[in-house]
Amino acid sequence: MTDRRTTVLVADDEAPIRRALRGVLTQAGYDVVLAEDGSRAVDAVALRRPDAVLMDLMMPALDGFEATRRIRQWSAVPIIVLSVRGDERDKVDALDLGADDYLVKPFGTAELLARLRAALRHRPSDDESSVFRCGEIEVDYYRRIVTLRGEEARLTRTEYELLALLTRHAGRVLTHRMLLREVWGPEYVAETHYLRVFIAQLRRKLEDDPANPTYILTELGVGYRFRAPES
Amino acid sequence: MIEATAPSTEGLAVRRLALRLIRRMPAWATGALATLPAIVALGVALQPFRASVRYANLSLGYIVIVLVASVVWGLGAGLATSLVAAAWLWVFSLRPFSAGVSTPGELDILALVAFLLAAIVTGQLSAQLRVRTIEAERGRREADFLTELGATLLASRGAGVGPLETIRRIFAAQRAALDPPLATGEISPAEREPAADGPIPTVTAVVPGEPRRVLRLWGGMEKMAERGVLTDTVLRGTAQLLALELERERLERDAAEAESLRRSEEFRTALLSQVSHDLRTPLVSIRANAELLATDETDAASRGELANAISQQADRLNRMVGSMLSMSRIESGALRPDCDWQDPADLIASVVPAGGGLGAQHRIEPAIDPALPLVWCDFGLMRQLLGNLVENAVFYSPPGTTVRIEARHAEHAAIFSVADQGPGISADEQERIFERFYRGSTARQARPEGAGLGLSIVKAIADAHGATVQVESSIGEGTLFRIRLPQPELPAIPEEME
Repeated sequence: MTDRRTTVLVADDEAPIRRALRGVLTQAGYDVVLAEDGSRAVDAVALRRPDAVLMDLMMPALDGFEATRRIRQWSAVPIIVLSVRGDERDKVDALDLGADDYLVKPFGTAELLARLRAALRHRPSDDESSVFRCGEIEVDYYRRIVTLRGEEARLTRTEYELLALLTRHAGRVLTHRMLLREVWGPEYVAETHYLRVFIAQLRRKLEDDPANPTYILTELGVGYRFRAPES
Repeated sequence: MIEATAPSTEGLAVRRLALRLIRRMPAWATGALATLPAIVALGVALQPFRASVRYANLSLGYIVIVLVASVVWGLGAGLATSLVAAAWLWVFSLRPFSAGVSTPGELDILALVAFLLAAIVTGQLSAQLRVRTIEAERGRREADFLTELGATLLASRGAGVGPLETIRRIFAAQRAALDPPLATGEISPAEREPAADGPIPTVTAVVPGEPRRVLRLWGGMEKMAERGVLTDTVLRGTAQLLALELERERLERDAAEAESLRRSEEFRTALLSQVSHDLRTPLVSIRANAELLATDETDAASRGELANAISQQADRLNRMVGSMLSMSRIESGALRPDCDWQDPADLIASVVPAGGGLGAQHRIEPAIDPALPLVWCDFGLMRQLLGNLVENAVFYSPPGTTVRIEARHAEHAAIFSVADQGPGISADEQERIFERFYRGSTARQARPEGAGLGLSIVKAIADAHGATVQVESSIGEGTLFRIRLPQPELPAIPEEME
């Protein structure tokens, strides 16, 4: 990270929401850049090089989906989209276009800041280590071994691939499509029941209480997220 | 449209040809020809009495024949017959067959002229009588037919057969069409020209109304022609009956449209009045709390409470907006489940209230049957369905009681149930709780601000999934809602080695 303060771009067409977010983010110690539509957001990412973007999906000129797609063509800046409750499809679409996370309006301040911290922490450059640790779980990507409380957990090949993918992006939501495409292959993106079954198997092997998972978290109607390590 | 079977018997064609030949001969000639043998026979029969019977009296017999000709074949035939009879009498009076030669007396000629006049007058009178009889007979047939048609049209209302098809069937025509066609896709006559092997008999009638249409009937209709009811009067009457029937159908459609419009208008009005009332309550509270926060006198502890109250009211507003959105989506018919395999544990977890706020004072007990692997449903909708049930359970049962959420496996179905230990719902109210805006008496007391939409949303979502909703409740013993969600076979998952 540079010596300057962390900059967050807020793209939303509603002035009250921009004002509220600027207040919250400034108080939390971030520099804030505002944009009132999608095309200005794309420009601002190019000119101001923010460290993270909060992107509303419903905006005039260029909506949040298209802005996300354009930014992703040349920038890896973490993007958190702001969506409305119940529109699971919107969230999935935005994530598939390259957004890192989503927040459902209306969201609480604490939740916003936690998601922002997680997004800033998991920029791609950080994902190079060969061992992942979170709580009592350790994944050694080099030796392809998973240990739980120091004991090796016996995973099938598919279970391991799925866990490795989730942990490499710990803290980030991976959509059903992404997981199915990466683990099973592009022709399996519609077979969500594969995913459900294997996630359940992983939870039985790794979670203390598979019904109340603490590592492999369900993003309802969207996908799964592995708990971020330090949180 | 149903094709009438074409009459194909050859005997019928021969008969038709003979009828046409006879019809081509004028009636007067037919009459004169038919009565000629009678006139001759009468003359021969009277021959012996010729000397003893007076000439004038002889002619009376011929009057009877003229009368018959007039009645049966009409005025022309009567006149022709009387001329023939007069001529015969003339010949008769010359006595060409007798031995002696005689010339007709003046008296005989006078009697002959008198006979001719009398024959003409009687013939005319009886012919008129005949015409009236025929007209009366036709009028009766036409009236009978139109009455029958009217009754059939009346009987076929709402039987799925349109008036045009009913008319086609009664006329036994091969095809019936309106020109220009009706908007609902009647066949246009232009598409259905008569076949090339001969013109099919066609009748047309103008159907009054706006726009003016022509009713065309093709083919068949022999029975109609035989019955003598294929007349202008009948066609006009038919067209009028059809116009009435079309007008009635149009009015009925308009009324149905107006009714559905009125209902959706009624819903919108009810929703709006509900919205303005329900949304204002939390807004008043938010505003009051915000203003209190802004004053300097408020201490730190109270500030936290006020801020908390504002958050809770905001949540409440959010819930209300959510259910109103769902309701309007249901109302507009846009509720189509987008099903996928979902983990029942995820579904249950999504409706168990998070710590703090709603449900903090209740014991929430989720129970998931391990035999229930995955559930085929629309996640968002099912979450809303279960969420509404859980919310209701929490709202209406006293703090400290238990709310049990259960997911169970059954044959070809997944069963979800939400049970509370609240006041219960009386048997007669159980039937009405799924109605929109209906609020039970206990509900109104326990939570005056509710909108009465929650359970109607539950019902709509269940219906969209083909699921059934069951309620078991008795006063003082709590309520249990049970959703039975039909399930397809879970597709196989490839086995994998450890």
